[in-house]
Amino acid sequence: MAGSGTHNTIMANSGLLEALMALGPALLRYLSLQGATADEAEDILQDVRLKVSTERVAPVSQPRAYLYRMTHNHFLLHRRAATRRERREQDWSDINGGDPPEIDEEPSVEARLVAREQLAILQGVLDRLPERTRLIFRRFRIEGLPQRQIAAELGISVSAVEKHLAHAYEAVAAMKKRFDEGGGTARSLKGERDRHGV
Amino acid sequence: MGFDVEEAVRADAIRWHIRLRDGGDADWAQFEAWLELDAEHVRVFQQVEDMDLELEPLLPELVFREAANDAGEPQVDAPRRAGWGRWYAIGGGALAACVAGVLAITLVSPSDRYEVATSAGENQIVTLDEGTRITLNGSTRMEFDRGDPRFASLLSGEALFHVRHDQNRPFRLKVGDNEIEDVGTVFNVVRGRGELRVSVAEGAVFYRSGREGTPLVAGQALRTEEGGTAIQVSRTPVAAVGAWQRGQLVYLGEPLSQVAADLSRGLGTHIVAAPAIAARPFYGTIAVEGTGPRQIDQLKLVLDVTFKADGDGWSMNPVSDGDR
Repeated sequence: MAGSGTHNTIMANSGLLEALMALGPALLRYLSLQGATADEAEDILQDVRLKVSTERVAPVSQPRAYLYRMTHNHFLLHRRAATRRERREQDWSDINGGDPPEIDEEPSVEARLVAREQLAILQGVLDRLPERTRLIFRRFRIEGLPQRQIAAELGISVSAVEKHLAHAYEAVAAMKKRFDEGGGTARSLKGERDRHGV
Repeated sequence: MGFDVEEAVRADAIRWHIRLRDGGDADWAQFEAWLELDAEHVRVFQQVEDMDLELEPLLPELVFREAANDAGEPQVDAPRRAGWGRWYAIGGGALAACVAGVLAITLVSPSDRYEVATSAGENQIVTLDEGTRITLNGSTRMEFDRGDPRFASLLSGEALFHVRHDQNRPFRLKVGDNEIEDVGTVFNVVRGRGELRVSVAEGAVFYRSGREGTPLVAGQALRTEEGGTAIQVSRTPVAAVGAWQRGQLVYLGEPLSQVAADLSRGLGTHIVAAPAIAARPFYGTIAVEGTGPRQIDQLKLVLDVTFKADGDGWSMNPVSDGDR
């Protein structure tokens, strides 16, 4: 989402399109770095072009960052659609053989139970974080505030905000790792906290 | 790859993931250089992104105990310094400047009810008790009760509510014949042009219409016709709820007629969308900087419309070839 506090430079879509033309080769290189094939990269860039030329966007002050962000988001959409397709085809052919039917995205009861369990575990991880870290995570991830604004609110530096966020994400990552490995392994959250103490 | 090396890569990946969300040109250049160093960086970075994505469906259900509306910090002589109030002071400079500008407080009856109204382009904060704060957008009329800090009524316009939750005495907002009851909450309500829209940023509310009740949780929005019974519930990004009080208007395909109504409230200039484009959907964020016609020039680029002076305001019209 563009526009928060950086509306000094107005870049109409035509300007953004020009910037996109100039950045094309760099963005293709970036996509291939992320693991996209040449065809996929071209498709993704085409989606970005379409989006930039058909949709009005808020004023953009850093067009390069804006276009990288947009390209990256389209890359994620692409990758996730591909993953979902693969998984569906796999599940279907395991059970039935042949081609899969059209999508049913409604979560099963089992999936919902897993989600409840994950929620309880995530809640536990957040509850164990220092209060300020938890507040910052909430401002950033739930309320979507930019780091600059969170830093201003709390009267601390942006890099301190980043440290709190890194700490929160590392705690979540450690939790996920244990969850995926089936519950019981090595490092405790406390170990994590000591190492990356904020 | 050794354990510690993998941990270090993951720590780097997490930092990049965080930084890039609001990253500038330089961040992206450095990130690309980091990716290029090692294929492992790419793999771990994607893992971190996937992990964050998996959090998404869980987020609305998380409980944050230090919630500002649970009246956590005792404040004796300076309630405005607590949680949200502080955020206002910094995040909404223009808003803070408006606090002093009380436009109209009129006693409406011998009871303890009183009305607060704002003119177009003006915001005002009303503090009902420690931890309950209502921000009125421009062109808004509300009624309060001196004897009952848990009551408010939205007569017309738009307001953002930060409500301290009290299980024994829930906060109730009256909107015409309907009622919205908080369940520990930040929510936004718009009433005008015959429709009512409620969106929830935090916690939950309970919308009551006659004997029917509809619960709404953070990330949900409700729309209904005034006097009607049909209710539409949709998803809304929590960051967009009440973004107007930070000078931002966020749209995900809302019609230009609604954009025009919001801008009228925000800019203090009457704006209507011509019928030909009133239903056209708009996507994007509009940053409202000042008030008045200076904004018009910027807006026409963003909205892809032309503006014509029309009585004491402006009308939004489609762009014809001659205008380009």
